[in-house]
Amino acid sequence: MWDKKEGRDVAPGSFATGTGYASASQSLPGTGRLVNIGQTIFIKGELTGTEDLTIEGRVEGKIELKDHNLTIGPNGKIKADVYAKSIIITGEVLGNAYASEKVEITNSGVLQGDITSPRIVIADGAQFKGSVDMNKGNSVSREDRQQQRTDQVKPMHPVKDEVSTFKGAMPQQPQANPADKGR
Amino acid sequence: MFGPIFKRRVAITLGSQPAPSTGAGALIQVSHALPRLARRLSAASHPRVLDLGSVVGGNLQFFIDLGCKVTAEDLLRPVETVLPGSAEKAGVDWKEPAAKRLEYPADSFNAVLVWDYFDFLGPGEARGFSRDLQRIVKPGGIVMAYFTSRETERREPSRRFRILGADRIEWTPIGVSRSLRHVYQNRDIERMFDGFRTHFAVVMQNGSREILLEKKAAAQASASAPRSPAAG
Repeated sequence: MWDKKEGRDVAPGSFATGTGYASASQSLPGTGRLVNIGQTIFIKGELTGTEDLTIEGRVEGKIELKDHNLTIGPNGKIKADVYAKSIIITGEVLGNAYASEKVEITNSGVLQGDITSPRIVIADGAQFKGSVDMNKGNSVSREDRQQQRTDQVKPMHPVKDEVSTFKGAMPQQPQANPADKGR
Repeated sequence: MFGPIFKRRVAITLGSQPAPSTGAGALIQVSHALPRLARRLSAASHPRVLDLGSVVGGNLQFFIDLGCKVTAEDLLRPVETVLPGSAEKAGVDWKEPAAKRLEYPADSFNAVLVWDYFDFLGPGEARGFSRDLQRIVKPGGIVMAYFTSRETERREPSRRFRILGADRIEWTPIGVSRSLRHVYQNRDIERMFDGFRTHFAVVMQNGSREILLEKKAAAQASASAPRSPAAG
């Protein structure tokens, strides 16, 4: 599972299986293969890599996959902040999710933490508690919001076969309501 | 028919056409409150919204499009009951006056979407929850809620509310378990939200009241404080 690459040795057997665990800061070899962390694996520490990753086990600490895709499988239990290009959650995540492309929570997924991503997909039945930030900076002027509605916001769509008929009629520019003044 | 709380801006919509459905038990309802809420949020600077209903991606997107920072929490399906280490937060006693069911700082949100959550709270729980709402809503902020107006209390499934457009919301029953929906009269709502004033209210054809409650500013709240019974 762990290959030896030039200059980047990864000691096999560093991660105990079953109920034991080992603290480790490991880098995954850049083979381009899809790597899967199995259900019985428990990693405590910082997990970084340069390829796509699927986690079915437990991870505590931090997960960072720059420019790659991370999938938390149905049996995955994560207690960490997660950084990746896209993050798909079908298991449980307790931590913040930062994606440069997309965060997706399926109908079996659970996320307690904040999402920072230009695009989010939350299926009906998903459980989520946290805030959503679709801008890298929180201070967005009203003029910038108007522009971002046309060139950044992506339509939401469900993961599974469900009816979601969000007709994204943008609200009209607010009309001045004399009754609202002074509130 | 309506007490002082409903003197301003009350519209009665009775006898409107039945709404079409998009799925099993789903109904699309016209919302008169949603466009008003959207206008208020569009005019605010860096508005923050808290959605306490069933998490719907499209709903979050709707408010994000308005420039809001959105926080979501499904009170009927709290994640704390699923994730390990959070089980102690389940089963909060809302009757305790100091109970803070909502873990947010005071004056955090410009708007809170409660949907029909009050239907599932008994009187004591409802009062505690409304106090918590008053704490986390900014002065001038809005609480949007549905209150059933059926004459008799009944057991119904909880609902998922999906925003379909500027003034359309889909109401979909969730699951098969049925919970008792409590009926609160106008005076009950007025007492629960004594720090608020009614910004907008409408009775819908399905018997629910769609209400926008605006938190009074501190000066307004003290000026409108109830007089002692002896002075009345």
